[in-house]
Amino acid sequence: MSEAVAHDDHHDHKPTGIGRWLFSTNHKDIGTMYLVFSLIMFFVGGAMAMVIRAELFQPGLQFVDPQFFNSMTTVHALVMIFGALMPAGVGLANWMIPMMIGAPDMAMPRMNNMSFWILPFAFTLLLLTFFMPGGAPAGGWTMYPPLVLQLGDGFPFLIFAVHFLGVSSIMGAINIIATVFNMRAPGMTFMRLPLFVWTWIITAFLLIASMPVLAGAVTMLLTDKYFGTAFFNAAGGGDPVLFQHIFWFFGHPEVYILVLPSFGIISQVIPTFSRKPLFGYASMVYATASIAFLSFFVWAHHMFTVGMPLTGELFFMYATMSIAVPTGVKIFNWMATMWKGSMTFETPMLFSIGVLFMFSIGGFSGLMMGITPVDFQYHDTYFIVAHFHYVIVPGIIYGVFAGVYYWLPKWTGVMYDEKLGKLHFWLSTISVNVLFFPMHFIGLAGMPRRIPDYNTIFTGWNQIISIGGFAFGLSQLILVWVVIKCARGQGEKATDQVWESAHGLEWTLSSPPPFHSFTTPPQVTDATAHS
Amino acid sequence: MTDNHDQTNAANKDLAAKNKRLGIILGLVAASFYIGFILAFAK
Repeated sequence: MSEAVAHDDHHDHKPTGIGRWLFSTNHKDIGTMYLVFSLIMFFVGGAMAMVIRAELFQPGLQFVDPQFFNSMTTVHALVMIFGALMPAGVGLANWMIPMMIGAPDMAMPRMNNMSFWILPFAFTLLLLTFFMPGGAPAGGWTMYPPLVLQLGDGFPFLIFAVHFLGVSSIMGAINIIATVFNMRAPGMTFMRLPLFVWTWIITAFLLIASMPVLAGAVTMLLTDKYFGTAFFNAAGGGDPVLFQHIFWFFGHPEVYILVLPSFGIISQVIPTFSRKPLFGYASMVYATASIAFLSFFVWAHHMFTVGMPLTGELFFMYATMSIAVPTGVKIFNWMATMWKGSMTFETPMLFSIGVLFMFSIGGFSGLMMGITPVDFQYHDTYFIVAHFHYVIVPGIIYGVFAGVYYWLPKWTGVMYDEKLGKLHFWLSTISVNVLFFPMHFIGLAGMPRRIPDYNTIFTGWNQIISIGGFAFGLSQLILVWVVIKCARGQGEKATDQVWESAHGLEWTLSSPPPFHSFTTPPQVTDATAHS
Repeated sequence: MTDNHDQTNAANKDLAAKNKRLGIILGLVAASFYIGFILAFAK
């Protein structure tokens, strides 16, 4: 950094015009760009989900052909995971980590700018495939060969887009680690770090360990298609199942890359609205690290049905179940934090409690799938779709919503509209359960995933699911309205403290914080630290 | 005042070097995972 410190010292002004955003090295501006990008991608991916749900409203083919339907499921997942969820987490990290640790900016501000601007470029590559011969990727976001190799001209675009997304994530992760390791304010020891910062350090290490694996796998796909290698080509001595192993060695840690920052956010929110310190701070840190460590030993539970030795099945079954232990520690610690607290239920707290309840539903169905023999029944059914959507939507997206509502008054200097926030929560919560809960039933009854048509016995539930989907999509417009109102300064002026029981350095800054904050590092003591 | 300013500049340069060093190490770790995985499965 130090460009950042020097910059703060000598030019304490806000750049103007398009240049402010194109060439920004300011962590707050880059955080805002990540969050806006994420919101746009959330609606792009959401629109694809609407196409899927419209098509599935009735059996038979209604609106789109099967190839396009498959593209919708594939690109919906890629856009949501890499375009909406990951940038949302990085955006929140950019905004909050420097302010939470008392640093003036991220460690490498120019690299921070580059990490962001790679994203729109990568998604342009990905979305351009819709206009190419052969269409957009349609073989599933997992890109399994040999199916993915049948993709037309869009194939190299898909591969390069994934590479760029990986590069962006790794650069972001390096920046976060360097920032936290080297730029903490005096007295901000590791065990005084806010839990959100802890979850992000661990997430950053997960990114550095797992994203190169995905990049390696898709490079191998590229060389198999164009350079005559046979990593995954059985005819040339390769093994298509090897790709599945490599992909899920990345894929399972990726789940935790997405969910750990959400856990970090609710670990900030729940103590504030329970008016109690977080219960079991140290155990939360160790549990987070344990989850991250164990996530590298469970990948094959995604592919029990490809066939593997019984010993392998047993190992992956028990390893999968063991993750429930540190996860349980976290769930019980959040509950213990709320126990006998003076709780109030503002919007960030409602979304955090939503995470607690509904992530647990996804967690429990995950445990069911971890049991090898029964997974053979669930595999590739809507039960799986129900499981991971409960983890991702109320587990991760609700965490992001909690963070946005919690910190929005700090970012904008204006209190959000609490009535609209609560309306957003309740409409989302009703509709998300109408959307995803019945998927358990049709999945157990045997409805396969990734199909545009289905047996007529599933019609009723599919219609209910689609109605839930449309309602959930529309409910998100409330969030947009809330954010626009705050950004335009419409609403009650927020105090610097914002929430009466919030603790931490970020609340010592003005609302909104100055363009360059903590140019002189604050001294952190037990009294001012989060823990 | 000048001494103070010099000290701050020296501290900033030191911090920049530390950040750069850590960034390079982590970047090399990521790059070696990437190349290592491909080479591990190359026949």
